[in-house]
Amino acid sequence: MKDRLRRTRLYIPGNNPSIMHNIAIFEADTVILDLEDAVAPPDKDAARILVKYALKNVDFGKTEKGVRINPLNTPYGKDDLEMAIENECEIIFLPKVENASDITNIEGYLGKREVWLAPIIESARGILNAPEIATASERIALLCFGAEDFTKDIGAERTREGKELFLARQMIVLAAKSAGIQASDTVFSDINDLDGLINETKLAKSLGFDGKGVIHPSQIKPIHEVFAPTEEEIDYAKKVLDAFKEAEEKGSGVVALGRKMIDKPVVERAKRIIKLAETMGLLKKEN
Amino acid sequence: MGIINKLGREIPEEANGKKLIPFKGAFSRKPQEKTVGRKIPIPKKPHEKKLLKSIREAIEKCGVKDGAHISFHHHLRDGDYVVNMVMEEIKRMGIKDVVLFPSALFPVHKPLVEMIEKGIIRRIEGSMNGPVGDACSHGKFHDICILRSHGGRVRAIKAGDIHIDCAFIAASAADEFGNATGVFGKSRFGPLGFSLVDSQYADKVVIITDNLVPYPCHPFTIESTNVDYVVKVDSIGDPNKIVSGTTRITRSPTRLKIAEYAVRFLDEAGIISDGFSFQTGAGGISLAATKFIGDIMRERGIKASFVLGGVTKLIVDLLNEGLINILLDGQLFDEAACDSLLNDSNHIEVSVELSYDIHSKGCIANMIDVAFLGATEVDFDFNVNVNTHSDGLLLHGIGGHQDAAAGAGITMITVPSFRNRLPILKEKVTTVTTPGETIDVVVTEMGIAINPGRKDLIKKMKNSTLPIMSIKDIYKKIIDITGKPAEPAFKDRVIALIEYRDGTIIDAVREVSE
Amino acid sequence: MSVNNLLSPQGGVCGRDEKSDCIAEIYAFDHLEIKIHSKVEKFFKEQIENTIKTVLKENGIKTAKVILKDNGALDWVIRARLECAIRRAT
Repeated sequence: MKDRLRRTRLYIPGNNPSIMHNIAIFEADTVILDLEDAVAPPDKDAARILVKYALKNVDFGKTEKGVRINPLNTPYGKDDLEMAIENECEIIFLPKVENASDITNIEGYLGKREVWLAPIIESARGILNAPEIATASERIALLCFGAEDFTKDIGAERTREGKELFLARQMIVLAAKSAGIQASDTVFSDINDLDGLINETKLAKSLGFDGKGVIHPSQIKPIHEVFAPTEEEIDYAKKVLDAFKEAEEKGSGVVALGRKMIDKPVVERAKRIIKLAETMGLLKKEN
Repeated sequence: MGIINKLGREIPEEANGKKLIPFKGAFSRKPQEKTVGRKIPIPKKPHEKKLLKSIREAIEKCGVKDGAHISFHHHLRDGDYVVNMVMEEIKRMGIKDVVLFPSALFPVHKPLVEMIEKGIIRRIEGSMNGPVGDACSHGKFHDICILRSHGGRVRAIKAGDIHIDCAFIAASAADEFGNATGVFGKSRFGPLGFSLVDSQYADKVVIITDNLVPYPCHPFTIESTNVDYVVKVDSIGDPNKIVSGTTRITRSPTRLKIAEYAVRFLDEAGIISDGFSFQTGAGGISLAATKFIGDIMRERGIKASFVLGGVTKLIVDLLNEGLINILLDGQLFDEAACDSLLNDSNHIEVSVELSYDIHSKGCIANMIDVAFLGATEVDFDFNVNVNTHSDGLLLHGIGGHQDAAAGAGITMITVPSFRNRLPILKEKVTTVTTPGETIDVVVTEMGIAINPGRKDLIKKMKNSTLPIMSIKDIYKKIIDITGKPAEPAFKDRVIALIEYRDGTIIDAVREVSE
Repeated sequence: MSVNNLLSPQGGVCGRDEKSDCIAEIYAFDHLEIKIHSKVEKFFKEQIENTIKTVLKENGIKTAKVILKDNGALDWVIRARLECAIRRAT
């Protein structure tokens, strides 16, 4: 589904079978079997075949099946792509996307297949081209930010507060939301720093991101908790939906909460919040 | 020709010249005998010296000869020097056919294997680990070895099933008249609870210490009442291996998940409430479960009335935070726990007799609400194996498993569903350590099974969103992934017996066929 | 699946000597020889052998020398590593 929950996307190195059989237990929203940065060039073919078998044999539970392929302009990219689409991969992560043509090139290989795309923007040019990338294809469901390579690209220093990333982050969010797709923030690399992870995730949420990259299963639960709607948000969402139902029953085109008019995006947001709350067990499913 | 016991396991009729009693149920045996004590000792003269010059002198003065029965404790764990030192001396003195009664053994005791092969040691009763267990599985002992739980060992000593000629008790501090402790000194290890019963029932008791203090040593666990001799050595063990710097919670996502399921189960069953109690250990999953319980207690402002450990820093921190009233300590594993035992009056040393002996009228295991235990295998009847791996090799002692399982309100086996492709669940375990009637819940990352006998728990958990299913269903899920393993082959010769805590025989271990 | 499989004499190797993984080696040979060294030999030797034979059959290979050093790898991992070794050997 295009706008399914993607609060967490967990990277799993593509050439390491030992953690793969536990994928369902991690309960990440999306798992990315990584053929790119996690795999050294001599192992690229071995990883591709291992991931092929993993897609077919491992229990993913409720987790979305993702693969990060190598860029098409490498010796590996096309074979990666072919393997992924022939083995029921649900979403393909494309690294180092810089412009719309990177997307349209890939589309050429996809035919009529149902598969989502998730471009990862990791460079200055990519950021500046974010709007055109986000709208390059109907298949794009998620726009991701990769801060590590981005910082190197612009020659900045990675800091804890991340002020060097602010504009880039906002560009990703603007491009994604204006294209009607989700935005996913970069990974937090210090797996021992729980507080740092939570702070950065709160920042991402407040900027409008729908999720975050994950490099260790221990990061999943904390991130899901940050993205959980608050009690106030849930209460307000309930009120909005009640008002919406009322308007529907009356046959009125205008949804009103008290004296305030409620626009369609607000209703959609309310629906998402209720759904998220139900999924997280914060609310019992009603209708 | 053997007897079939209540669990359908075939056991021999006798071993080492004694008739065996087959297992009939966890609480079925009602003994008629009295405890067997030692001869009344000849009075010591005033100021009579007990301090000897060497271990050899102690061995001579205690009259240790061929066929002697000797005991040791395992509080020094893998950092122990004492067992090897004493046995080396025994070897040098040309003594043979010795029977050993350690409360447990560790990889550091590998030198015993050579002595077993040479007949210096004819059998071991109590526990074995690693290389010694491996030697046993390959038929290297002269006699049939017997494995007992911590509580079972106490029972056997008191009932006279084990007669100890000489108990060698390592202490990190002692005075020259034999008051001894493990709570302070360069080689400190905490409680001396495993040795108490040895000190009370052995014919001769020798304290071996690397830290002689002025009389009277205080605090003391072993009373000089029971001590014949004291020997000072340079070092009783390696401090780095006796207690660790810190014990870490597991980072493995699988183990964390299992711990999470276990604690959620307890929470939904209404067990985690003000005043509850539990037992914990130093295993990865056990520690993680303890941490999660701590988080819940903190969040809801509830306290545990007591915790029985297996004590580590994690539990000590909960004690310091005021989340636990009293910490009962049977053995400890790290420096922080050691400091706490010495300094905190709410952290108390308890003997293994009090904690686990089936005949203890105040058996602590009986008061505990929850115990977290491990396994190498679990079967469809919920029988648990902790002694052998699926290949049949004897690789672990029983520890307190049988005792905690029998006593605890809820016994939870927390295990991964498979290790190295080998399923933990089987139709029948290779060796039965603990009977299924004392096991309540099995928690794996693939599913949770409740013993059908616990209808109360099944009812409580009816609407749970946890993955609760029959044990056979968990097994099927595992086999789908791993494939079904072949059964190991054994010879006919019985090389060890697994004794239940009441003195009956619950299973026999046969020599591996290779 | 390709039918023409001329395994090269220097063969192909794939895998890692790590937990839950295995190293598969395949070489051109005049008959079929399978050697398995596994931590779980006692339990899964027959299964592992069948898996190897199935993969060879699927790839149209009738004769070869196959050596598998296994660390408790699941069936699909063995298949993946052997398939990769075959590709590297052709």
